[in-house]
Amino acid sequence: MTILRNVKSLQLGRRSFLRGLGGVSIGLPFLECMLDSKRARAQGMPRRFAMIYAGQSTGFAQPIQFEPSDFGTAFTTTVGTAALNGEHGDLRGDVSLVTGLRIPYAGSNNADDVPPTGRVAGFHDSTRGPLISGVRAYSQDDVSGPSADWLLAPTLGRNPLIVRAQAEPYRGGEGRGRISFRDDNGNLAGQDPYVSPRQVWQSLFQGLTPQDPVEAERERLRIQRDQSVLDLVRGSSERLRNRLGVRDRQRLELHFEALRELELRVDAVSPPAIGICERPIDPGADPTVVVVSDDVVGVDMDGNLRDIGFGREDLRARLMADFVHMAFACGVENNVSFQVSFGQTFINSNFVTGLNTDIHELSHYSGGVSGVQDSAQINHAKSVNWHVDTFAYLASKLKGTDEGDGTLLDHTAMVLLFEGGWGYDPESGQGSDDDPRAHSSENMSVLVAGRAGGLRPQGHIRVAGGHPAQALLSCMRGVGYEGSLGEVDNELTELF
Amino acid sequence: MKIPAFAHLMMLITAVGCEQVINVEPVAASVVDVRPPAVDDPPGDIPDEPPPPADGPVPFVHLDVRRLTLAEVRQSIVDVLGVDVGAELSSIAPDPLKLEDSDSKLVFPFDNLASQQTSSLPYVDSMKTALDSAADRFVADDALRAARLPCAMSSVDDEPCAREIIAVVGRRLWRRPLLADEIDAFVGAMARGRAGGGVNETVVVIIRALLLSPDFLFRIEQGTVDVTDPSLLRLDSFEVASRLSFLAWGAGPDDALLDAAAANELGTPNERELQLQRLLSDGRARRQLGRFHSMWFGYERPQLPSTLIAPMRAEADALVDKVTLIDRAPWREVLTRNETFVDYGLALPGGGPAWVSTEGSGRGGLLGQGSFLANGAKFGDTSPTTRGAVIQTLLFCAPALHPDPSLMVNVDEAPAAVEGESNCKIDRYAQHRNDGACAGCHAFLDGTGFGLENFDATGAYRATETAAPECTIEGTGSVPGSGEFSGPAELGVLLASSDGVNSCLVTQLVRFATGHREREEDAASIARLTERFVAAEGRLDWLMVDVVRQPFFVFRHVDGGAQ
Repeated sequence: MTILRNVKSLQLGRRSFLRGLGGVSIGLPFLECMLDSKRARAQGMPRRFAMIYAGQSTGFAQPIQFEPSDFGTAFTTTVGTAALNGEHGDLRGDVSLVTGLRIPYAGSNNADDVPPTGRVAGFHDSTRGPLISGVRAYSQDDVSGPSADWLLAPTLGRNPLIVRAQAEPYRGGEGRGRISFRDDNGNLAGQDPYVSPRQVWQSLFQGLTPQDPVEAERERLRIQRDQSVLDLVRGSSERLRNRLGVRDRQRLELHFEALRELELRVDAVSPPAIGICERPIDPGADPTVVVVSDDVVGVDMDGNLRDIGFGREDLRARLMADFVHMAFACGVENNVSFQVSFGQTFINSNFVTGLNTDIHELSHYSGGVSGVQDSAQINHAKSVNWHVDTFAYLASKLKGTDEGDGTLLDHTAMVLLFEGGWGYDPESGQGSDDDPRAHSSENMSVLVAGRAGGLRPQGHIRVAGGHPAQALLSCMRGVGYEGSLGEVDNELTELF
Repeated sequence: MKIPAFAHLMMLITAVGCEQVINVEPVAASVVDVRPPAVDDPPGDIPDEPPPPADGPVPFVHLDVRRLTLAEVRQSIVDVLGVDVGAELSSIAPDPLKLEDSDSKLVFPFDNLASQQTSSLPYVDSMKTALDSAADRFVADDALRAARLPCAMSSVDDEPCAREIIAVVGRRLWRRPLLADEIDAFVGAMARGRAGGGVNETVVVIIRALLLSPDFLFRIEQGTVDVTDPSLLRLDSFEVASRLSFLAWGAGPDDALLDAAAANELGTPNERELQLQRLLSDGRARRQLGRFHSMWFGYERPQLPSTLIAPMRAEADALVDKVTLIDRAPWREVLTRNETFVDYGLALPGGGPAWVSTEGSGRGGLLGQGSFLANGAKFGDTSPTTRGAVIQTLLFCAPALHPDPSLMVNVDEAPAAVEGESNCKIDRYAQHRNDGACAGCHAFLDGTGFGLENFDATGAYRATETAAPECTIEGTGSVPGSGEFSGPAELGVLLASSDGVNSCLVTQLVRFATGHREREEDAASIARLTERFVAAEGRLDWLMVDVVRQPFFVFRHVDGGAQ
């Protein structure tokens, strides 16, 4: 392993500040290396933040398939947490697996009944808003406050990198493919993520100066061309902007800002790919998305044909994690929102269960031998573990990269949020601790890793009645954020 | 449980038999009409447009700036550059469909809802990659360059030709003539060529920048403040041209339409009708009306085995095209035609696609096709409730119905059989229809859905339930207020004569044309348009003409879409 402090060339430069934007300043990305060196040193090692989202509940009929029965850093992993002590090494001492959390709920779908930080009774996607923003969801699919990544942008000095592993919704829930929301002149604007691993690679790493001189020259010319194009686009944007009325200009402001952000990326003088900052291998074309194929037409536990899709989300998730890791290592990103799956995800679970059944269906007693719930529960837990695996994979890569007197993981705060937990389901009126349902925001869990700002991994702990967004706020506080997260004011002190 | 396309076809053929074979004309992209640029032509006044009606607000004018959908970007680039970047655009998060309004519960089925079109760095960055690819592939193709550029730069210093390229290609991509200072700015791209990149480098930079500019990616409507009503902006003729072409083609205007705009020939209703009729005679209108119906009827992204998606989509598009654009028949025949286009090629006697009769099969119109019947696939089977809901929310434009949480319903689990009682679906669902609290919705929705039960989630006919062969499917249902039916053919007849469906067609067309939800004060206008549509034989092309002839078609509110 090499250490970051040896890589002086990671100091990024840029051309002179963008010309002629009329003095408008709207959340431009701000590179840490733009800080004067004294200030940068005073702040110590840079801190990174990653909010990761799994569109799946952790358990349904047998929570023991997910929740360990013992506590501390030597807890016994379960089917749903197996990735914390497996292929990626033993990470139990590097994480806090917080169980016993809950999001409060209304007994109806009436907006007036929703408690602060809570949700309506209808389950799917009513937890996303409280989870990522700390603001109650007034209806299903509602997000009513800016998400943590955007709240953190001023603290971390740059806008978030937004990525998603699930390629498409596959069979519904079209609006559930976003976990990043920002304030746009008093309106909340959902931010589309990068869904193409190849595009993320190209955006973050293609410009890292290659060692091969021929390739380096090709990159130099490519960047020059991009700069010429963006110069022209900036000019046309300014002319258009000056012609627009107030409301139209507001409508386009996010677009103008995104163009400026893109220009800054291109303008940044690329560091050489040396030291811990290595140019990842070009992943090539994105995996093909198959909504339903004759080769993978699914059959549920009753032998019925299932409508399912798959875009090699397993590979996409790994690639996205690789790129987040290297973006942290190279100092080109420090604020990430990473959606592994849509809420109520319909990804074909075959790659983890061997069954052609979508992940959501697994939570409804499918994916098992008919009439035998245990096998279905195990398959459900396996698909939970895939989300945990993505988290663990990224954590292990950060842990394996030295920085200063520690590792990248030491200077990171990362959290994995789940769509639901297990227990009572107010939508159906069914479920209890003894006969739980997955459509529940009782008994929710989060995974936290990293030691930024004094976060202290503690293995499995139970914080009965805490809110999962408190864990998110804890991570935000770990990287220097001092405000609240929507309606959530307090972090989980147990994490420090 | 694989269902090969051949087997599926045979199920269909068994049901319908063969009748008539016709040829299918390929849809070709237009060739760019290369003309000298009209750089300095001002849009001018539009003198003879009647003033807005004084008896109320002008409808459908609260419109925000719209971003081109991915489909519109793709089609526009095909039209202008002859390059298809469909694969590249698939790397961008798709435009969402079927979004339900949280207050009204109305479902907006199209991909162009302006309020959802927020920009982000991932969008812009990914779009740049796709647009760069379009420019690069175009410039690398000698034949395309020769056919679609007005001149070939003789050297890196050939500024006159560079200016002509900027003006001609820019006018097509930005859907208006470029101003002189805009052309001057783009001439700066020649520096790239002079620096060693060569002529092609100059052209690549020009086209990349034209494509990535907001002038291409957004539909900007600025107009001028109307002299009779300062709350309205009267669109300039190029903005009207874009409204026409995006409605009819889902892409920007061609040169003929831009020329008409430059000559101020879009100001009167007759002039707009003339142009719309021309656009509707083009193959791109076929594709656009196919998309309109596919999103409206819920089969744009069908949950079907991959081998069935293309032929089933071809089947649906062919029917829409034949009724609306070839025969110019009443639109209701989309629901009632007793013929369907089968594109299962090799399986047909003699090979090739063919029209076959659906007479006596229970099928008829779009509702009898696999694309539509894939709606409502749930629980590994069909959901009569979901199918009923699709018909209500999409075809009647009714608000979505959700169970009251106090009823404690889990919509993700199929009704289970009561122990010791029948496992047949109609009996299992009867629990809902007979439950006092649930009956209100389920009698309504399930009552419709069960009328389609003889057709599974891929559209294949079945006499008994797949999972319970002992259960014979009766396949009868009803539409409240319309009557009883058995199968899609009879359902189509019922819906074809429904005032509610006619009104919904008008509503959906206006939504599709504007990219916005209708407002409460628009209801009277929708009613008037519906009355005129019904009185005029109910032809879709006529309705489109009526829409573009209306005064509102050339106006926009000064406050955009502000509430």
